[in-house]
Amino acid sequence: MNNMMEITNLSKSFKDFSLKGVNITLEKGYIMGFIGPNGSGKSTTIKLIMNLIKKDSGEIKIFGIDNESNNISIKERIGFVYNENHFYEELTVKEMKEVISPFYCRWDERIFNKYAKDFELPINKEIKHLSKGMKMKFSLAIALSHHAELLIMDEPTSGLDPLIRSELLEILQSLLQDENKSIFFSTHITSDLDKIADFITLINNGEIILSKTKDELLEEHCIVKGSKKQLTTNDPLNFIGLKQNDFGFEALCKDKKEVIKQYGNSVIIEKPTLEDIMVFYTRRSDHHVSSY
Amino acid sequence: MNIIISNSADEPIYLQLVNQLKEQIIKGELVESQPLPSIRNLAKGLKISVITTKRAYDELENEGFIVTVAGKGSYVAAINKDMFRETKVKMIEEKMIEAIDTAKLVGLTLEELQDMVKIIYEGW
Amino acid sequence: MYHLIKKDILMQKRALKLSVLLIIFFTITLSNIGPAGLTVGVLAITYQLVLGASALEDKNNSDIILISLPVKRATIVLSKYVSIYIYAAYAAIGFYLIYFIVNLLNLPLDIPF
Repeated sequence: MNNMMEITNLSKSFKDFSLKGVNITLEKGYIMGFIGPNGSGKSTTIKLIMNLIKKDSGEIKIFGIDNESNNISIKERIGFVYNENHFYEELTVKEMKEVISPFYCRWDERIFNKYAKDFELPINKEIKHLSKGMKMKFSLAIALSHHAELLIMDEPTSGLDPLIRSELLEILQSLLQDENKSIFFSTHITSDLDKIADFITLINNGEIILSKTKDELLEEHCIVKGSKKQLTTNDPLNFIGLKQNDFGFEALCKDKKEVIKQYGNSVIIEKPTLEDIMVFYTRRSDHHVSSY
Repeated sequence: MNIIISNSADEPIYLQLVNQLKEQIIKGELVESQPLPSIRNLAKGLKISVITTKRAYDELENEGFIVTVAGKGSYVAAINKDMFRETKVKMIEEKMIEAIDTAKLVGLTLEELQDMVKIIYEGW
Repeated sequence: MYHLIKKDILMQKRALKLSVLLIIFFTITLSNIGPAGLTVGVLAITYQLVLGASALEDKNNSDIILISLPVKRATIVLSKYVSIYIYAAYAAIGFYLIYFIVNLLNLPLDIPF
């Protein structure tokens, strides 16, 4: 069993939004970044993985077993961090920990205390008085204290300062020193993933646009910039998120080699970031935002 | 061992890693059968992804610069100087093909190209 | 289940303090309607605590945490129902305790139950 998580043809419809045939595979020992704009279906997918809502069709296998029929045993082995604080604000950190810990058979007080010390968690403070970063760290400490094999994080970094974000990434990397653990990390702050993610899955409008290793993604894609004249002579179908104005065009292209072959040095070819890839794939080329 | 990775360089990260390790092996800074850091440890230290590091190690192993013992880790292999020369020559060949292709694209003649090589070779 | 109920009680530290005052208040105000006063009093306190627990749950959206934990949904729901009986028992004991104290001190208060 080398797949930590396997999602096949997952669908879920709401009145105004639907998730259409989502396929994601996460291997053991790696970290997958799950990116997409707001409202693209990231949280819905995570809710389905965590079995918080019922799917319409498809299959979700975690640790090789179905997540609905093995709900309890799977959750024993999952650590979760959500983007908002869902803890009871009235309780202190210590009380909240005591509420949660008895549910896990494999809860390890020693690990929790270690993280509490490392994160400098104010153990006797009420949760409502914690800063946003502190709440996330507390959430993380809880998620890591029961020997979870799969860590699921739903936009853990939104609203956090860069310092805490980089601390988080460091923690995640040290977690991955154990090659039997995997991390599934949803975010729209792609710079978090530029460095450490192994796999990237991009979702837009409830559909998976791509899912592959970050290295492949960054190596095969390129940003092309050139004059409009060049555009008319060549096939623009290859371009993703083509945008043109009076001065020229820019677009993302899936096949860097082909672009070099076709255009040579006549256009500017740039290395994209994950953010570029997300923006180009998800924007509508005919859509212009203007100010009044 | 020293490895410096640039995230903004055009060269893919795994290649930077491969080249730097190779260089150190060839220069003898990393000696035969010296253990290398584990893939995951190196990834963490360099703040790069595990897959990138794995790819670099795989590449180095394929080229015979390191050997990986399952469950124990990776070590610097005994490098064969002749083999190394051969691979380098092959690499030069590949780069030359690339240069010639580009030269043809802009209509450079063989003589012009040869002159260019001569100037650069002697000048440096 | 025990932990779920414990959590509900732990969460309501403030509401529990308030309920003590309410018990005293009801003892005085409801004492003149006879034994029915006890029933009304116990009902009111139970209602206050059940509603309070649910409101806090709702405010923090904590149901998401609960259903993400390795517990059956049925257990979560059941524990809410069981907690009603615990609150009721607490309220009843509270009233009898006040009654006991009033009797002990011979306060000029007419408590029929």
